Amino acid sequence: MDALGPAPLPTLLATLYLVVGLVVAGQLHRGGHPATASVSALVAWPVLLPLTRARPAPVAATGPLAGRIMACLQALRRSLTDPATATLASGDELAGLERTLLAADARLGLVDRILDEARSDDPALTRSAERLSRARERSAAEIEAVLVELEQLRLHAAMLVLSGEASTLQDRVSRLVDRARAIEEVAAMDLGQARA
Amino acid sequence: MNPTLLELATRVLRDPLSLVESHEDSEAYAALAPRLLLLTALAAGTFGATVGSYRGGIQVFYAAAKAPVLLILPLLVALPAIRSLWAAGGTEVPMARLALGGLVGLARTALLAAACSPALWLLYSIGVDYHVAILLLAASLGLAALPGLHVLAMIHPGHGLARVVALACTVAVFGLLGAQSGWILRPFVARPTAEVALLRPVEADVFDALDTSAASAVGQYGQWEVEPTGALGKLRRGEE
Repeated sequence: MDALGPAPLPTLLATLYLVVGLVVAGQLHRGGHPATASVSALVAWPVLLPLTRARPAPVAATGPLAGRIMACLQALRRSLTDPATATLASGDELAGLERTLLAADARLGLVDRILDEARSDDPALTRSAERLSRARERSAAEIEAVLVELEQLRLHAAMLVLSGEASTLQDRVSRLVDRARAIEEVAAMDLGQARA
Repeated sequence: MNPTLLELATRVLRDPLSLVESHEDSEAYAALAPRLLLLTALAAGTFGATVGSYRGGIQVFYAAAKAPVLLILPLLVALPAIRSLWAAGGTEVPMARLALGGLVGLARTALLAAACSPALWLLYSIGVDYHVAILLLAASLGLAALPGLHVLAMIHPGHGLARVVALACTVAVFGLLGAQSGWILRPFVARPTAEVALLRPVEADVFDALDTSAASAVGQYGQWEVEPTGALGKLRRGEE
């Protein structure tokens, strides 16, 4: 029996399907959706298409650094209104970054409340609380580092507007988004080690 | 916290409507959809491997790889048509709700097809006729699809005749697309003596094949001259 040979129409359709899948996956990634959703979009984008139009629910600003995060992102948005810097980051990208940072910050707030409630003389409980506290400090330091870099980025963008070379900062925004997303993974690893 | 795949499978089977309704916001949807696709792929792969065991050998892997595509493809193609048909009947359903309902229904179908696998494997292992084996495959998939389609019926908010017509159209669209997808992706059941192929050339359509299988199953063997039809069939004729 002959195997089905490559035909122009099926090949064209399959290529078109994959290209649209790539576009949808990119949009989901920029919109701050999980990586699993972006990967799934490569093979089953029609069922994930509604996510490209939906706006993710806002994250409650309940963490200790929420005020600073929102102020920092607001200032960055204002800096990017200049036509020379407007292409550095899309509104979706900044919204995704803000959501990720606020979510990481909200987890810090939760850990703070747990640590407040877990005061005890029991040595085992004290050791667990210390490990949790160390993991919390590392996450807080990561959020602080991203905020400092955002401040630097804002200043560099302002300087580069004068020289007309602001586009050289484009990669840096993407790296910051990736770094903010990594906070959750680092926190999970820290907690895993703490449990061990 | 995300449920494990086993917990998700339990909810898909026992309480699909609440699963849809609790995951309609975009964040929950984005977390759930990949897990439903994974669950579908694993369950359909199990079913495919069982079907491939009729021939054995490499056909087990070919059928296991193609079965998830067989189930997912009709949903991907049919969603816009289903939404339009429902809208034509006066029922507007958000695309996210329809797609999520479709994914949950698909996972339910795949899980039930996987649940049919032991019985199917037993029947195949006692050496049923090739044409009976094909009809058993079609029957078990048809049976497993009904509870999956019931999920779509549950999310349809309409009433009365409009609802009945919309659901009948849904069944017809999924039935046609599912059957033709199976035909394009065949063979799933291959004769024990047949040469194994990942895909066969496009020839005729699924309804001719089921008719022939039904006739052969009752001992009426006839000459079946297939003619390539449709867009893919015309391409093949052009090659020859």
